[in-house]
Formats: sequence, C-alpha cells, structure tokens
Amino acid sequence: MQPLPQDHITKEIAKLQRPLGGRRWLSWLLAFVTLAFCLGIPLAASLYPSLFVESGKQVAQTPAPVGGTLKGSAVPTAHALDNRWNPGKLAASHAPWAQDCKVCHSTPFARVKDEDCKACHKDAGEHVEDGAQIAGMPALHETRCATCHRDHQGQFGLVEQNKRYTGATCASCHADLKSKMPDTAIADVGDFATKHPAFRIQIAQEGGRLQRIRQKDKTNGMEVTGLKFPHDVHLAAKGIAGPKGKEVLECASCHKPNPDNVGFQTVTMKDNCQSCHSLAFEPALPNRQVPHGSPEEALSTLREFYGYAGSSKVALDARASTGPVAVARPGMASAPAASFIKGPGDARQRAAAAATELFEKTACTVCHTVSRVPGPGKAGTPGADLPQYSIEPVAPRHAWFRKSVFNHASHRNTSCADCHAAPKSGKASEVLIPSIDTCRSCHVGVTPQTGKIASDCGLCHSFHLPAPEAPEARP
Amino acid sequence: MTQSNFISYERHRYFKWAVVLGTICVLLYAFHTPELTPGGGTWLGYGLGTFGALLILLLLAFGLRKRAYRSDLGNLRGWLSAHVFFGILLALVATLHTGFEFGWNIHTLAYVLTMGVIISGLWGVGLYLRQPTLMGNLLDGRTLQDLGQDLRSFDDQCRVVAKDHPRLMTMIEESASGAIFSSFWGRLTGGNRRCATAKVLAQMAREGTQQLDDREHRAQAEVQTLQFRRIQKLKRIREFVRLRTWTEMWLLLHVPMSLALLMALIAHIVAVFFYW
Repeated sequence: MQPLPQDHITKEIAKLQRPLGGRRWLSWLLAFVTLAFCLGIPLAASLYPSLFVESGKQVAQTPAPVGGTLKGSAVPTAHALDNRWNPGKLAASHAPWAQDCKVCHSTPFARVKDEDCKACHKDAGEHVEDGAQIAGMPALHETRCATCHRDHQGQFGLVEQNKRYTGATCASCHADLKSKMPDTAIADVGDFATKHPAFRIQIAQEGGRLQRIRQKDKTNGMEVTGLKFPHDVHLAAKGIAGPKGKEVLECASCHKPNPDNVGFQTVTMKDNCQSCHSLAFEPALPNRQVPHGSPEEALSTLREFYGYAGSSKVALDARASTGPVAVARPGMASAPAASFIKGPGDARQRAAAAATELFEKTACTVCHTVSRVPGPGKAGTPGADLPQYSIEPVAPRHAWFRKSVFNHASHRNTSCADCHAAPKSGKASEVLIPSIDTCRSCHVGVTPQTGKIASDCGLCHSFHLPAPEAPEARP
Repeated sequence: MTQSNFISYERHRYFKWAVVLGTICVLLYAFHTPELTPGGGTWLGYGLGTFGALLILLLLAFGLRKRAYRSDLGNLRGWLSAHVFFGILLALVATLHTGFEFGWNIHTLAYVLTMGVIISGLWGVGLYLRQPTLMGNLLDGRTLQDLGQDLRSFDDQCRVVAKDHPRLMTMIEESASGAIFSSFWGRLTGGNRRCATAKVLAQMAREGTQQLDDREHRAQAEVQTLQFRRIQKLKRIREFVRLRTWTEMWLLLHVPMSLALLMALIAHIVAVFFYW
C-alpha cells in the first residue's frame, strides 16, 4: 500500500479521526465549580465566617427570639452562604432564623440537641417528672425533641406534625411498662379499641384532696363535693318551678363553655343558682338577701338588719302590692312565715330566729351540709351572739382528666346526655364522666373500622406533662 | 439474532438484577410508613441513600475499568451491561430517596445531576445501538482515508480532462483545495455551507455551456459529472463524521456531568451530616 500524500485532505481527515478533545478539562472545571459552590464556600463561610467580611466588620447577627437566647449562634455563617444546604422550608415560626443554621445546628456533625430547642422553648414539659427515671431509661433519654418535631417540612410542617404526630411508638414502652417499672401506677396500654385500661378520674376526697382513681362502677358516687345537688330534679323533663313559673332547664342553662371551648365556666351561686335559690331571710322584705360566702358575714348581716329594723321608724322596703308573699325558694310550700321584724323578743332574738330559719330550713341547708356549732362566733363581729353554724367545705373545682384533653367543642354535634347520665343522677357525689365504653361507641384505635373514628394516642394524650394544676377554690 | 451485545449480555443478567433490586426498593417504599413525611431522613431514606451512593461509585468505577486495559476484573462488555442497567436502577433509587421532596438546594442539584447523567447515558445507549451499523454502511469496509483517496482521484481525473481549459482548471483547483468542514459546527450537522465543490458546481450550472466551443463544452460536462461524484463522496464523509462526532459529544456531557455529580454527592453527604 503506497503512503498517503501529505496534502490538506489527508491532514483534515487525520484531524477528524482524532477523538474530540475537552472532556478532561471540562470534567475538571465542572467538578471544581460544583465542589466549590456546593461544599467549599458554604463550609468555609460556616467555619471561618470572618474570612468573608471586611476586616474590622462584624458578621451580621440574627436577632434573638422574644424570651429566648440564641445559644448556638455565637457567630453566624457569613452572608448565610450555607443556606444552599437547607433541605426544605422552615416552619413559619422558625423562619425568622432561616438565615442562621447554627441557631439550631450548634455543633457540626452532631444532631440538633435538646438544649438548642430549649434555649427558646423553656417551658416544654418533660415526659416524666422524675429526672432520675429519665436517666435510667434509654427509651426516655434517647428520645430527642427532634425525634418527633422535625422542621424543614414546609411552612406548616410543624403545625401538621403537632396535629398529627400521634405517638405511633407510645406502645413500644407503654404496652409493657410494668416490666420496666414494676411500681408504676400507670397501667399497660395498647390499642385504644382493645388494650386501653379504664380511665383514671381525678376525684375530690375528704378535705379537698384530689386523687386519681381508676374508673369502676363504684367510682360513681365517690366525689366528695360537699354539696347537695340532684341533677335529675333540675333537669326534669316536665320542668322545675322558677321565679317566673315552670322552667325546663338544660345543661347549658348552668354549664357555659369557656371561650377556648375546651372546658366550662365555673358554676357560681350568683350566676347560676341564686335566681331561684334566693338568700332572702325576711318574709316581709323578700328582696333583702344575705351575702353568699361565710356564715359569719351572713349572721352579721342579720344582726345588723334586725337591730336597725327594730328601732327605725322609716319603712324599710315597699312590699309587693299584689300577689302572693314571696317565699325563699320557688315551688316551696307557701307556708307564709311570719315576719321576724314583728316577732317576739328583742332584735337579737329576732335575728337568731331568722338565722335558724335561713341556715336550717330555707336556704343554706338546701345545698350545703350545715351543722350547728357552739358559740359565740368571731369576737368583734355583730353576729357573734347569734347561733353559730359551720358549712362543710365544697370540693375545689378540678379537672376530671389529668393526662388527657377532651374538647367539648369537637363533640358539640352530640347531645350532652349521650355521654353524661345527668338526667338520672340524684346525688352530687355521682361522677358523671362516661366510661371508656362510651368513647368506644364512636372511637376505635389506629386500625380503621367502618363507621368508627380511627384514633391514636395523640388524639387525647400529649407526650409532654402539663404544668402541675393548682386546685381552684369554688366561688 | 443470537449474538449477544451489552444489552443481552449473559442472557440479560444485569437487567434481571436491576429488576429484582428495583422491585425490592419500590416495595419497601410502598409499604414504608414514615412517622412524619417520606424523605432522606427516615431509615428507608438513609438506606436508599446509601444504596444509591454505592451505585454511583460502581457506575463511576466503569470509567476507571474502561481505561484499565490490563485489568482482569470481568470483561468490559459485562461492565458496560451492568453500567447501563444499574444506571437505570439508580434513577429509581435516587427518586425514591428524595421522597419526592425538591427545592432550590444542593440536594436537589445532586438529584438533577444524577438524572442528567442518566439521561445522557440513555442517549449514549441509543447511539451505541444505532450508529455503528450506519457508520459501517457508510464506509462499506473502507477507511476514511480511502474515501479521501477517492476525492483525490476525482481531482486528478478532472485535471486530465480540463488540462487545456484554464477556466475549468481554476474551478477544479478551487474545488480540490476546499475543506471537508469549514467549521466545527458542520461536524454536528453533517453539512458545510461554504463547501467549495458545491460552489463550483453551482457556478458551472449558473454559467451554462452556451458560450463554449464544442471541446470545452464536452470537457465541462465531464468535469461536472466528476465534481458531482466528488460532492457525493464528500457528503458520505461528512455524514460519517457527523455520526462519529455525536458518539463523542454525548460523552462530553456524560463524563464531566458525572464528575460534577460525584462532587455534588460529596457535598450532599457532608452538608446533611454537618447540620445533622
């Protein structure tokens, strides 16, 4: 084969046959640019932020949240150059610190620490009160805030989690808690439909002491209220005598929801009882009442009233010109008690007669357990020389459930009586909290079932302990 | 067809592997119930991420094995077969690893680069399956320099025919000195807008033969035929070079992008654990 002539055709074809150049330098270039943009620059700006600002100037600081301290953020990353690492939008509440990763990620190559969260979220309750118990149980101290609360899931990510994170893993400890903590009072629990124990209801005991008692048939009747209150009489379908004749009461007549719709406003004598249960003491002047509160004040009012009424020449009140004489309580047999003003004896004796009538017959004793105690009363009070009474203390207002939340507003489509057997309850000591079976008529556990609501632990329970409840005195 | 290529290598051995592994990944994803949202942060997310990273290393190793001519580590056709099918598997694994969460960040950049490399790879597979036959047909058992020799012989024949006609000689030399491609762009399209031979043929057609005497008339007709055959040959060379250029062009995307991907992958992993 003769050699090719070295003309332009041979040369051009030889050139065309050479592999296309540029692959190597293009590879180096792209690799370098990618590494610098994605890793080198953000890393340097995070580790050595001062390199990225003019000498003498400070790296821009992120403002601390209200009531918080930005613990991890000694010097933020310069120009937020590490923001290109952000894998997803922060929750709206955390977004103000989106430009400063180190606010939460305080230590490189370590997962976000609970202390970083608690720098702002100081009041987050623990799961268990006893710190030693937490330390002794890996499942507790290995559970981090971020085990459940994961940010970078979008603007509403945390809100969604708080609503939905329902502790699918609660049962991993609570299904067999007794094996780890033999002395615990907490019963083992699994699925709500099949393995949830009876509720433990907080019940007032002697002296106002609150105690959580596992609900059984006998719990009904255990609440020491110090009151006499038959729900059945008040809720009678045919009605009950009121100041303006027969009135049919319903639950909402006395139980008004709180503005937050979770619980109810406190039932008070003034707002809910006194329109019927008048504290009038003088049949001749039914619009005069003793104050509701301490017996001492009531007795002093009586003593002062009859002392003045006996000596005064001025008409005290105009009587109703027509109609029957008002009696202490609507519906009471209208045996017209004689006026005490014109009664026998002196002012003290009249006041004593009125007090006996009021405490023992017409008013106090209707709702309270009243007992007569030896006098005299408190020195220096006008009523000290009258018969003295003591009223059994009323149980403090308290929550029935300490470790769960029941939202009445969510259940407003059902009638009260579907769960609370109030219309049949004749005693105040009866606890009208329904049993778990009532809940189960609508709610099943996590496994969905036709016609029922799938419910996980988080529907009623929270992982974090609530702040300890201070018992509230009943006004 | 009984001959095996890199697709059907060892009765589709790597295709079967990819199908089995891909099915396992899809089933795991389908039956996985993440406590919060799916993504790289769940145990399956970490698992798929690790598997994907290992696949990327295996796929990149093909580039090394390809250059290691003395290696005994499997034959190259097997490596290519695995490279193709595991590359397609990687598209699935990487997509599941994302949990379908994307954003303007380096993590999604790594994903985009992964998909870019895989798509350019699929393009390469298409080229490798189609081009060699086309290129073989164009050369018909000869070499590119043989075709160049044909051009040269057309030019010599023209010179003999037109030796007494300076006007024709000028045109023949103009045609003979023209380049196959006047710019790199032509290599991608397979054409040459400034082709000297095409220009000469156009000039001959435009000027016609009316003014010429009999001898020159005959000579020009012969030259025209030869120039027409020359341009046919040129088109064959250009089409061959076009095909060949594209078989290299896709690699010019595939290889640098895969190295950028390696860097983005490193950045992705470091970033994820730096701010864990």
